[in-house]
Amino acid sequence: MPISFEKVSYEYAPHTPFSYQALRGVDLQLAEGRITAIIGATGSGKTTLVQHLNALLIPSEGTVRVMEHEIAAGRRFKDAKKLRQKVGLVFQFPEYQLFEETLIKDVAFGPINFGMDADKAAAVAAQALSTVGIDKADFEKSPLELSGGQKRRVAIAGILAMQPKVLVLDEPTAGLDPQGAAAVMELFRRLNRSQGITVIIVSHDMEYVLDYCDQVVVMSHGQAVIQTDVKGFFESEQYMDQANIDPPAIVRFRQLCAAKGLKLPADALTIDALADQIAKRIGR
Amino acid sequence: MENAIEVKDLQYSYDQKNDAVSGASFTIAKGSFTTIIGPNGSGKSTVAKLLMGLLEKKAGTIVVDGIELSDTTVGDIRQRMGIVFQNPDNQFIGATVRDDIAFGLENRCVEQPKMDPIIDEYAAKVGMTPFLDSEPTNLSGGQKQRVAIASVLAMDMDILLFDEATSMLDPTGKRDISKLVHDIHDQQGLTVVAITHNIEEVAASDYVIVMGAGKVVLSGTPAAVFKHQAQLLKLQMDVPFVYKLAAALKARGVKTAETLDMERMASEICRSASKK
Amino acid sequence: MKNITLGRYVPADSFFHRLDPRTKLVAMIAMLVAIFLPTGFYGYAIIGVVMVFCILAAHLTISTVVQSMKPMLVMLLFLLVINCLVVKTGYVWLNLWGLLIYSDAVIQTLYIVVRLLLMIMITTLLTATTKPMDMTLGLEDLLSPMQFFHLPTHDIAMMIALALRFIPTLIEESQRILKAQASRGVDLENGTFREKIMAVLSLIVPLFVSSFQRADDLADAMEARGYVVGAPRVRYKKLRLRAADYMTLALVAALLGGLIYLAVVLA
Repeated sequence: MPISFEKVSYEYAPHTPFSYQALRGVDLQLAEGRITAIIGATGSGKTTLVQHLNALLIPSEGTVRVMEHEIAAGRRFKDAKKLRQKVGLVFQFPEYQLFEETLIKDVAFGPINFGMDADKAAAVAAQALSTVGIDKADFEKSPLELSGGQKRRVAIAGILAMQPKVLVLDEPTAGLDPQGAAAVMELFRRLNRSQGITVIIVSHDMEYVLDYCDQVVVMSHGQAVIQTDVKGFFESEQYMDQANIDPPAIVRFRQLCAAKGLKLPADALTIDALADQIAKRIGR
Repeated sequence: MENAIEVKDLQYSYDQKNDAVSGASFTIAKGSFTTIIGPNGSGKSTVAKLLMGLLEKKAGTIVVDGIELSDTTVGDIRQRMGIVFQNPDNQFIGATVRDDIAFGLENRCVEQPKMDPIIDEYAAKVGMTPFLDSEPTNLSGGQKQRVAIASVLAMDMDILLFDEATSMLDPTGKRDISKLVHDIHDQQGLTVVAITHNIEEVAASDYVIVMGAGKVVLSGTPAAVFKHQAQLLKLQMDVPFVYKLAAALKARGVKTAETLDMERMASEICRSASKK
Repeated sequence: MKNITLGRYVPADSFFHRLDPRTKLVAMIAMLVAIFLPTGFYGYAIIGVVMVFCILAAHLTISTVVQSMKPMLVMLLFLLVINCLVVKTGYVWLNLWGLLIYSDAVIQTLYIVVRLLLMIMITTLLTATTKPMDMTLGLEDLLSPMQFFHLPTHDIAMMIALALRFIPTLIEESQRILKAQASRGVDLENGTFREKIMAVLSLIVPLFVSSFQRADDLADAMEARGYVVGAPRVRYKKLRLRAADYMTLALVAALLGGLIYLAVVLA
């Protein structure tokens, strides 16, 4: 079942002098089993949008449907805890949520909260830690002994251990070095391809959106203005202009060549494909 | 021309077991724009803190502007060299932008009547004049970093260190701060040392120092450093797009001139294609 | 979410908002002393009228002040009951089903209630018209003579200023942590006692850990910008007394003097 937003609006601090309309009538469908990127300028409503997916926020207007759950404006949503086990949300800079004495205890915290017994939780936690690439020898270490990148992976493991069907990540690569970021994106792709987990990623980094995501949603001023597949998005000058993003290097290069009179096909979105096209044009 | 910074055989250890910095040596020329890159854990931030005397080195020498760093000279060195850290919130000390820029001036015992003009001047230099009385919770990350830069500039430093100053910012913030730093370097002839992950920033610098496992592994101009592709890959470092494209083209029999400039490469390819 | 009014400061532009914080601090202390002078209800009436006038002049409402009394209502009623049971002097004022309530019991309680009300008016006037940061500056100046007794007044003022600067940041961070842990199934309302303890720990521990990291980073930033604990510094914000301040201090002194005279006369 796809996840859908029907005319969803959200207002922070209503009826106060600080009220702020973050979402204005969002109509959106997020495909099941795919990796969708949510992009847009800071303040466009991306973080507000994804916090509706696990009922951290309830819409001021409209309805959000996630799997068999319906989160409607004006009504108390009673199944929040059930939903939060199925939709795992990883915040930006999730390192700060680690608090237990050891990594394995921290990762087991989520599953235990959702009713798993301690032994099973420990097993699931061990599995999750291995999935994110933490060595078994380190399981009993304290989170404080880890580097930033390692802490982030443990935080992600903490959500994976909950065995969610949908994984939502807010800027998972922020502040990571290039290899750390690539490792983390690879992980999501693996989880999606091998277990069919729906992955939703809020991101600013167009390189990763191009290389790892299937679908893209563009948010602007609280509305979802574009919803399309990634290839279609990066092939369209119009879409990229409308989204007002910094295109990935490969697109910028194509644009530079076009400006100098060499039109290269828009669907050459990998370095090999582009090199093939250029070689052809030069006559090799 | 005297060097801005000279480091010889620098050593530091956080926990008496492994050395975070194990014998690093490098020089930074006056007025240059140097980038320091390396995988996380290679010791880059540690070196920055050691240069500022915020950590006490285990061994080695650090000479800044001709002054050797020691307990007695730390204050003098901090008068000539400043640093902008990664986290915009954790270096914003004042209650407002004005107060934060004033902080360094207060420490320097600048005469109180002279402070306002200095604050106004440097806030303008970084484009934060409309926000002088704003509180940090109402500012974006990029704006807070601009204030950090202004407060360091206001102390009239010759050498500026940037420890991943853009890594916690969104793309707009990253772009603005990078541009601001380059403008400052070009206009005021300051020496800039930027620790960064951004490969494009590296390509735009004068000199690159590559660190790995606490040592300086490679150094030189960006072009010279990126030639060592195999070594960079082994360090799991990213390589600029133009280099990756050049390699792919080479594999297809298309030779391109060595360049780090995307525009130049595009021009060359367009010329070759039109010649056909 | 970001625009939380810190403490009880109410932004406005009144005579009192414009006064030097030192004037207000000194005036407040003088008025608090005045309340405890044995001037009886005459004195309280005078102070009361002055305070009502000041509160209105500061663009505040009486109801805000009365609201602050609410938390103490229960305690005051309790006090009234205790006094009625214990104090048996004065004349009998009321006979409540056999319990004799004496006038002194009621009057003593009334004294306390009125004094409390006046104290609240005075402190509210101070906190509503003075930003916490300005109060810190005022305190720093007033207490600086204490340096001769080895009290590190400037360092204390710096610590308070930093704490004030970071309170909104910490509040935001705790809200983020709350949401992050809620996403991991933390439920503060339901659950066993042990679960609730873990829930609270999952909020407090990360906040502490990040605060220590923050403190480290801040210390580095401050030192890098030349801050040395105990070294001489020049403060950017200079407080300057104006005519309005001298006038206010003079009036307060006159009021205090008058009330002392009244107390002497009544004795």
